[in-house]
Amino acid sequence: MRLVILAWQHVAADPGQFRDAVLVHLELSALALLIAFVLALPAGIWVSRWPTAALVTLGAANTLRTIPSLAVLAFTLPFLGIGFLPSLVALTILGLPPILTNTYVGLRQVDADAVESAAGMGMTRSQILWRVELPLAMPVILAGVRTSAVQVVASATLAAFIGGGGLGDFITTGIGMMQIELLLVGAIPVTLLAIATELLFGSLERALTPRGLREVA
Amino acid sequence: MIRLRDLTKTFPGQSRPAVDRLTLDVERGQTCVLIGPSGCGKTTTMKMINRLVEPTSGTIELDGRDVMSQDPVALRRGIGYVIQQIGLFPHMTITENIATVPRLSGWPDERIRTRVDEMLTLVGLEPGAYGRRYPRELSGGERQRVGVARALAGDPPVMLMDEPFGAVDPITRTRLQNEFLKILRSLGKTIVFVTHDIDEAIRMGDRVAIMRAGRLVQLGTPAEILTRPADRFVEEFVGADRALKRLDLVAVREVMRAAGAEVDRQMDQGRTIRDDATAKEALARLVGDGGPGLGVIDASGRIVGVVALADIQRVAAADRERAP
Repeated sequence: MRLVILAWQHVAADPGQFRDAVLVHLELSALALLIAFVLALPAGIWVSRWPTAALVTLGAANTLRTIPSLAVLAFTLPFLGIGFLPSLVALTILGLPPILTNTYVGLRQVDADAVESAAGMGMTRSQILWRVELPLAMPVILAGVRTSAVQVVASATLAAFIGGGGLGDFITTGIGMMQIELLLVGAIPVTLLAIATELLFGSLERALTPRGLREVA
Repeated sequence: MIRLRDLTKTFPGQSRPAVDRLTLDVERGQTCVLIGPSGCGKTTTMKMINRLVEPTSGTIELDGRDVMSQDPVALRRGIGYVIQQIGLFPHMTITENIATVPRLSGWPDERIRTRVDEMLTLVGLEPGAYGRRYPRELSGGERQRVGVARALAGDPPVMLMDEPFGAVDPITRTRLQNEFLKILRSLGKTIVFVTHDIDEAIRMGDRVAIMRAGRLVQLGTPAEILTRPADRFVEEFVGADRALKRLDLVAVREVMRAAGAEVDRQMDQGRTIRDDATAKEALARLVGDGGPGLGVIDASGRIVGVVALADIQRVAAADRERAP
């Protein structure tokens, strides 16, 4: 408890620094998630149409998942140096697999009869995708986005190691100086942020799930 | 209306064609039932008509126009399509489901609304009670009604129906068959109907096309199929009780004799049957009750004739004489 109070005092002593760290952390996470979504959704749609492409891409995505987050960040270092950009690239890479996999799985799970009916009634390929397949796959895709978001927010802490800033700065400095209260200035908000992200995207998932698909209470 | 000429489909990687040089005409306003054991090519044949499956060779003409020269999307909007699993869109309300084709065709909102209500009423569902509900809130039979309403919404002259009553219980099935038969006949639709159920084929079809291994084995009216099966396969397929099935196609009024004095006695014992009942029902009653005959009454309850076992046997005798 004493440590938490000390940590709070640290924040109060320099609120500007803390606020900046939070903002950088959020900016980094939000951008990475956005880019990951923009890349993974079309890729997921594309691979769901091509079984061979799916095998290769999903295999790669799953391999990517097994690489520790820190390693991914470290890999970007030799190519992009240090700072915000390499951190963003690394987090984007970390954010891709859950969205990609879930988009693929979600689309593959869509009721084949609904798709056949849609085609039989004269919907074009893109009408089938936008009006039938994506709405029906939506809950699964959003679950992927939620997993990805939480992972990105948590992993953004590691950006501090390659000079990306964010709340991880407090943690690395805290460890370096053996100041536990400083470490907590980073650790507690990151934890809360991750939980908040989980809750936020959880409710987004419920809100965006078409009414006809929601579980009957 | 629908003209299939030497229609053949060989799926990639298969040596034997799924549909083999099939030639078949369906006249306007008629129901043609494609029937056969699974894998006989009936569904493939149907799906070639709306180009969900592309033929390997042969031609399909719809209303005099080759379907292969038409844009598949435009073609399909003019053809109603109902499948066994119905394929309602679970994320859309019943209204939105039925409105699919009118919306794709760009009808004005007001016309779509009117049309949806009209379709729901047509298939026996109260628009106010059902329009805003979702497919999962409906029973199997209700969903099937919605599936037919959705297929009819764009007012297509042609309907393709693939085992549309396959997924509902037998009682509901019979009711839906009778109901939709009336609806579709009254709308004058040209229908291609796929089933593996011979009773359904006999009940629904103006003509029945029996298929086996991609080929057309016999084409005829239900009565022809039952009384003069082309070969052993058809004979076995229609079943040993084909003589009984045949009686399902004959109304009591077609076999009854003029009412005589004996009618009064049957009437006294309450042994009567409606004149629009089938000969098979009359036979069941005669066998079950053990009486010599039944009084035949019309819709108003007036006595119009009498029917006995011998009258029913005459149907089978006449069929035998006609047979080659």
